[in-house]
Amino acid sequence: MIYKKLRKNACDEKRAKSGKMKFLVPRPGWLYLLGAATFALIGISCAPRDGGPPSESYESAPRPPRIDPDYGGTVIPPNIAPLNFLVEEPGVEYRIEISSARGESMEISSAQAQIEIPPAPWKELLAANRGEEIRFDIYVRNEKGRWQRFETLISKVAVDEIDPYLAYRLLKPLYNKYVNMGIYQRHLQSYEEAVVIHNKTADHACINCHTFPDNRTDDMLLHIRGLHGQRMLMYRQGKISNIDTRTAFNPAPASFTTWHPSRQAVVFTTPEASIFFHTVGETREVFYAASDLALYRIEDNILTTTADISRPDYLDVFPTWSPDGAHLYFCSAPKMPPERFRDVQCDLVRISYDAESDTWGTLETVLAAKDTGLSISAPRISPDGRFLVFCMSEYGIFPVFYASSDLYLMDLHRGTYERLDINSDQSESWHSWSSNSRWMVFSSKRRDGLFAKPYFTYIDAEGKAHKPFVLPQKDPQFYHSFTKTYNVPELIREPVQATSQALARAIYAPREVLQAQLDPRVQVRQRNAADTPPDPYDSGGRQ
Amino acid sequence: MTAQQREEYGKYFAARALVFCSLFCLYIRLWVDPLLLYHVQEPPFFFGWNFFAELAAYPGGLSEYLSSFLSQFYFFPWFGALCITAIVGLICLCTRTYITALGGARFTNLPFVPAIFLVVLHNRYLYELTTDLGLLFVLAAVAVYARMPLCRAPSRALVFAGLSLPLYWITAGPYLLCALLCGIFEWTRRRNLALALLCFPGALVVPYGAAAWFFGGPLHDVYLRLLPFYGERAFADSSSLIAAAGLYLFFPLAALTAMWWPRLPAAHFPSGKRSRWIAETTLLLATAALIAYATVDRNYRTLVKVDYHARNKEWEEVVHQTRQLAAYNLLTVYNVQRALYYLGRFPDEMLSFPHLKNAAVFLPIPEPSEHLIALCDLLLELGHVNKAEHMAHEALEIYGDRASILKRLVLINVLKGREAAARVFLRTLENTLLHRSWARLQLQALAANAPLSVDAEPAQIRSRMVGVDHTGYFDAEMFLLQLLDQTRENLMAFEFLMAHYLLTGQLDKFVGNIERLNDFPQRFSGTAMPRHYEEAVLLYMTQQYMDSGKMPELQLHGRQVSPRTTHRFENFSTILAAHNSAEWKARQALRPAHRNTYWFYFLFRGSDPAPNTLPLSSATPLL
Repeated sequence: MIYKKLRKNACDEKRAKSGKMKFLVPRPGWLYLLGAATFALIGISCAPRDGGPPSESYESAPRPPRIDPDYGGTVIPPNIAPLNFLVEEPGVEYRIEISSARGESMEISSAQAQIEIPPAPWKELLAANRGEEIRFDIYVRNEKGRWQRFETLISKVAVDEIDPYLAYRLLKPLYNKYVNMGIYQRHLQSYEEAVVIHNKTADHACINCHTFPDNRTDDMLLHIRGLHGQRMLMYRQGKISNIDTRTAFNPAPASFTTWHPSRQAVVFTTPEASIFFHTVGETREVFYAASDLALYRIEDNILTTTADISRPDYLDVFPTWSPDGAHLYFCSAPKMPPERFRDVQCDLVRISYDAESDTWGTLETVLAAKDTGLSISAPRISPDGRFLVFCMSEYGIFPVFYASSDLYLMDLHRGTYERLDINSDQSESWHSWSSNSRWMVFSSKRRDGLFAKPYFTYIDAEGKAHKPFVLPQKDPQFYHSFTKTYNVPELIREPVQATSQALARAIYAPREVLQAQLDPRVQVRQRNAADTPPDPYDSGGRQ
Repeated sequence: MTAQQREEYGKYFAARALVFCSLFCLYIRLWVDPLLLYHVQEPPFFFGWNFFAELAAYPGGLSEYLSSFLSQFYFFPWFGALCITAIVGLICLCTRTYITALGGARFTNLPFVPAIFLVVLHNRYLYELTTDLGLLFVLAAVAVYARMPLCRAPSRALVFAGLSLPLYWITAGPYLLCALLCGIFEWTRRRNLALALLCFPGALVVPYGAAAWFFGGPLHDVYLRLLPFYGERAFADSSSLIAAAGLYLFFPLAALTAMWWPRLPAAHFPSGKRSRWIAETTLLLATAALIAYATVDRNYRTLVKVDYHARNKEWEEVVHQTRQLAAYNLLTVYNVQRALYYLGRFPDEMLSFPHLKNAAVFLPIPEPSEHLIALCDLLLELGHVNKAEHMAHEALEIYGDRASILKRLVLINVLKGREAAARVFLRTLENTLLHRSWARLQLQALAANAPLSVDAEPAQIRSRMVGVDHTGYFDAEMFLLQLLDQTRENLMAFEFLMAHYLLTGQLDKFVGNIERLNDFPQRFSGTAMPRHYEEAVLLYMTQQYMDSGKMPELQLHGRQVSPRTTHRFENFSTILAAHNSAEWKARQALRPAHRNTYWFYFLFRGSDPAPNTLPLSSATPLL
């Protein structure tokens, strides 16, 4: 691949009018010499093998080019890695011109359809064009030597940056057995991926539910299940604690955790869930026999709850705090027997909480399933407190398994909600906001219906979500043969601070396991074993 | 020892190595059979950076990477045998170099001892090339260390230190042997106790440091990873465990022997005596052959062959090999049931072959990992695509991206209308050495909307697929009824359902489904019934008669029990009546003529498919 970078100047307008690409020599001073040499090189390398330059002798195709991943029409962060792509048009030579209103444009020539954009000029291009459009002009030369130019693809560079790191869990589509999984972090400005913790180094434990407060990583939570028990791993102030959150109130381990903004407490669900199966469509299904919410006060190691978030006849799941910590939002549905799993439809509710006095308010319904006709799950509030994005599916509590799961946005100021335009006919789930509330990442199975990939969407001040794009990879064909699923992508402002060695050690050789103490005010409920559906599997099914 | 003697020993060693390796290669090719090794291990290997980087991120990953690559050649049996032989030959060569450096050149058979241990290990099929390679790298490093011309202790210490971390990264656990052998060398040969004391703690410090700063992981894993006596599989088989432990104990013992065994005068090692060479070589080969013979598990090998033939749909071979079994496992039952079905002999001969006793015809929940692929195939062929997908994904998680699993997922996703997902699996297969062209063909077929050229016929499976969404946990009966509700003409589901009723003794349900025979006029023409069905009908009628005192008027929907079966039943009843009070005697008396009848099965809850059948619990290890 030959890469040429040319400086744009005031001729942009003329060039645009004439429709011809003019390459101008860099200036001034001694760079003229270098420029002349570069120009000569360009002249040689751009010289069509059987005719003039493509900009002068091409046919126009009245359609946009097919590229994969599809980045056309997207809004992209000014700090994203180059959006390498594959031109899915048959040809023997490819030329890509990436231009913009300001700064340097780029031209990439390649005999291959895989287009890799050099990082440094790309970074400059984005930096110079915040709030502007960048244009991708794609030329393809066919076997007969004729160039074809497709309609220009336009992406817009947002003014707002995205948090520079993404943490996610990578695993195969799992059923009951797990052997190989890890939590990774990816630097979004480059393609650098690092292991946060892989279960190869942690006795193949199930590692899940990585949670960060305020998109920061100085505090972090994980949950583990496996040979070493069922524990919560809390990284806090440089130390890792092992906490067994199970008490007489909640025999099931914690999951779906949310940090209180004060970072003095976390709330999690205590689900008694089991997997079962369909004979048509998505094979897997999760049934919740019971699920309450519990609040864990970190400093005094106390687990507590209140009647409205642990009602015996309700499933309470997916807690999330409002950014001011004054309300806990969650989803709630009446319990159903296993055979009526399709009747499980969650409302979106909230309850106020005063952290100072550790007192709860009363429960309010924010959005009722009977009004939407759909089951609400996974609410996440933007850090500015303006928007709440949630999933809605035909039924149930596990949106990643439902093709019907779509993302909806509620304007908390106006109290209105709408289905986002960015949904596909496959499952959308596991969304996470950036710290500036302008970006959202979510898992979507839109590429193939089986493997979830992280997609980013820009959400403007009015709550409009713009066309999403998949996490860019250096190899544009990366997703073509990637047989893992991206689970729970979370945007973070800095790399995870806990080292993988320390996390692994804390899993397989904990110095101490702190047993959470149940708040004496909490009444322990008598549990009926018959409520739990039969589960022929070892829960989690470690192989 | 003189230089001339050393040269003589060198020649003897080379000649002996040639003979030994040739026979070793023949043994691997003709008895062990690399194709069976490939079948059992099926090591995934993918070209490209991602696969390499994933393995290289952990100690021993490079050995695993190279092992995965070389193991691809098992698919070509001679190449595979040569590959194993070459590695084992190099191990012998490195062993000899080390022993010679310790002054043990006179022990001309000693360098071949590791190969004998390795014969035992490769006999077991589960033993992967990674361990051979780890050992080879370590011994090569030790040989280089022992032969390096540096004499000064600081230089040698530097070399050892410089060697340690990369060697640990490449080999993981086997590195411990390197530190030990280098320490022994320094202590005994160089008489440098200080350096020896540096080497021994090196074995402890390097893995610990690497784990603490680079790789992480539990301590036992840090030190023992990739050692052949570590891990779940090692303890499943005592012969392997002993051989693996023996292999690693051999080197320090050999080193000490070479060093301290009473030195005999050179006159005791006359050069140029061919008869001595022949005697020693014969002794070596005889010992190797004896140990190989004593440790080989013929039954396990046959179990592997049964599964291999079943995977390749060579049904006659499956049946043939099954007859040779002295003990069988559940996987064999699944394989032989499918073989009998495809040969059209299932309802006639099911009880003549291994079968589940007093249990469901197959056990889909929970799924032991050894049976996942066989269950996937069975469910797929039956038409239960979602459950087959479940089995395939469990297998993928446990065994990794094996081509056989990926191919099944291609078919499953095409059947489920998820062609984009099928393409992902195909493009993964495109990065393999052996399945690249197959994957490209399928990709072209998908692009052209043409049928896939896979073993199972997608159109046939599609015609049987369950179209109604049932949810929950299912047992075998429910699976089969769901399939028959969807397609009455699903012959496989019918035969398995009837087999299920027979095996579980549910004769009322069996008789209630006799009418379904008429759904398959080509398979069950005329008025005849398969033998076991006739036997079950007679048994049911007898039961009814004994319960009610009168012979029931059984609706057989135009079917009849043949006079031959009726006659045999009379004979069975007569013998039984004669031994009415002694079950054991009755069993012995009935065995010669009736051991493979349903009556015998029903009465004693298990037929006698083979005279020497062992109980399942004592069968050889599961695949």
